[in-house]
Amino acid sequence: MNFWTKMQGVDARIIYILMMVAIAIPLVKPIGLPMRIMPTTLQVFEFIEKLPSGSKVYISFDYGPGQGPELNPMSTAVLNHLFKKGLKVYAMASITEGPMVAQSMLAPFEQQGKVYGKDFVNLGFFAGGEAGLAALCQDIRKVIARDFKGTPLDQLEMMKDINKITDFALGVTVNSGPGGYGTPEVWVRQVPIVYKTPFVLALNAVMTPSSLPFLQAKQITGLLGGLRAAAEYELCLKQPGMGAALMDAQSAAHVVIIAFIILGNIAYFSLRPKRRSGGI
Amino acid sequence: MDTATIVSTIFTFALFSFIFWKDNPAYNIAEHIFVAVGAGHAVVASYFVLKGSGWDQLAKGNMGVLIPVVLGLLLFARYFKGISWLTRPSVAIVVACGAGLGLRGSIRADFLDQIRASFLPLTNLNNIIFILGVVSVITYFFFTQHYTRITKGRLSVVTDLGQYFMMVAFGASFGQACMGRLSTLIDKVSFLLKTVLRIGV
Repeated sequence: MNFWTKMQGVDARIIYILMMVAIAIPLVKPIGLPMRIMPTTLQVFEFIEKLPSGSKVYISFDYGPGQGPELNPMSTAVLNHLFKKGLKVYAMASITEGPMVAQSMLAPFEQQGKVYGKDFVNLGFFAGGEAGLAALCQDIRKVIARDFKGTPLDQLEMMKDINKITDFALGVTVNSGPGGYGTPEVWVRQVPIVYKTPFVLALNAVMTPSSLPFLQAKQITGLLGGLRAAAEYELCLKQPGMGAALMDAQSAAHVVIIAFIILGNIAYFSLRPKRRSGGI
Repeated sequence: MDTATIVSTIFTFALFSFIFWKDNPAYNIAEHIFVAVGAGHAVVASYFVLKGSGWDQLAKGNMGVLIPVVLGLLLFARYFKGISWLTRPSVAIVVACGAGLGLRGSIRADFLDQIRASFLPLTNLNNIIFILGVVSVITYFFFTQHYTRITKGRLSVVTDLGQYFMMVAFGASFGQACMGRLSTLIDKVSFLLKTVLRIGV
C-alpha cells in the first residue's frame, strides 16, 4: 500500500489530532497574522459611531450557549462599542436560552460600572416566534410584561419612553439561524421591511452567505458574520480581544483543511488510472 | 479550580471521547444531561411566559386574554381520542396568522426589493458578474420540455454557467460552515489550555 492509497483512507482521528495541534500552537504562542477589515463590518461600526450618546439600541440574543464560541466575541465587541458610546442597551431574546446568554454577556460590563436599569436592561424572552415579534414591534408591553429579573416594565426608568420598535435608534439580532423562532429572515421581514428602522444582522458564519442579499438590497443597515467579523470589529474599536486572539488559531486550522483537501485530491487523481483498471 | 470549570472540563472530555471511541457511556451521559437541562430550562421559561401573558393578565381582570388561553388549551385535545378534532380551530388560526404575517414582509424582502436590487448598471466587473449569475441561475431552473424544445439545447451554456455559479455559492457556504464549526473547537481547545491547564494565558 503506497502513501497515496493510505491518504485515501486516512483515519479521521489523525485529522482531529492534527487539527487540535494546529489550533493549540497559535493559542499558546500567538502569531499575530495581519487582518483586513471588511466593508460590511466597517459599515456597522460607522453607523453606531454616528449615533448620538443616549440613543436607545436593542439587541436580541437569539442563540444558545452552543453557538456561544462563535457569537459571544461578536456580542462582546458590539456591546463594548455601544457602552463606550454611552448608548442605552435593551437586551431581549426570541429563544428561551437567549436571556441567560444576554445576562452572561452583560455581566462583565456591570462589573466595569454599568448600571442595570440605567445603562442597560435585560427584557428576557419573548414568546410567539414571528407573531410574537410582530406584536412586540407594535407594543412591547403586550408581549413582555416583566424584565428578566421579574420587575414590571413600567417600574424601569429606561422603559419610560419605550413603547414600540420605532422608539429605538437601532436594532441588532445576534442570531444562530434555524432552531430559534426569530430567524434572520423573520427579523428582516418583520422589522426593517415593515418599519424602515435601522437594523443589523450579526450571524454565525454559516448563515452569512444566505443573508448577504438583504444587505445588497439595502434592507438592513449592516451584516456581521462569524468570528472573523468579531475580530474585525475589535480592530475597528482598536481593542483587540477574544475574536482577534482566536483568529490565528482559525487561520492555522484552515491551513490544515486546505492541506488535506490538496492531498486528498492528489491521492484521488494519482489513483484514478489504477481504479479504472480495477486495481483498487 | 472552581466547580463550573471542573464540570465543564469533564463534559468537554466526555464529548471529545466520541472522536476516539465512537458511541460510549461517557459521551451518552453527557449528551443526555445536555438534552435534559435544555428541556428543563425550556419548560421553566415557558411557565414564566404563560404566567406573565396568561395568568397574571387574567388576575388583573383582562378577560380578552381568555380567548388565546382557551385556544391554546384546545391544542392539548389531540391527546384525547374522542375530542382531538377540537385542536383544528387553534391550528387553523396559528397557520393563518403565520402565513399572513410571513407574507406581509416576505413579498418585499424576498421578491420586490431583491428584483429591484438586481437592476444594476453594467459599469464595473462586480455588477457584470452579479447580473450573469442572476440570469444564468434563473435560467438553470427552467425545467419544462417546451423550453428545451424551443431552444434546442442552445442555452445549455447559460444553464451550465448557472450551475457553476451555484457551485461557487455552495462552496462559500460550506467554507463558512467549516469556519463556524472550527470556532467551537477553538473555543474548547482554548478553554482546556488557558482555563484548565493555564498555558498561554
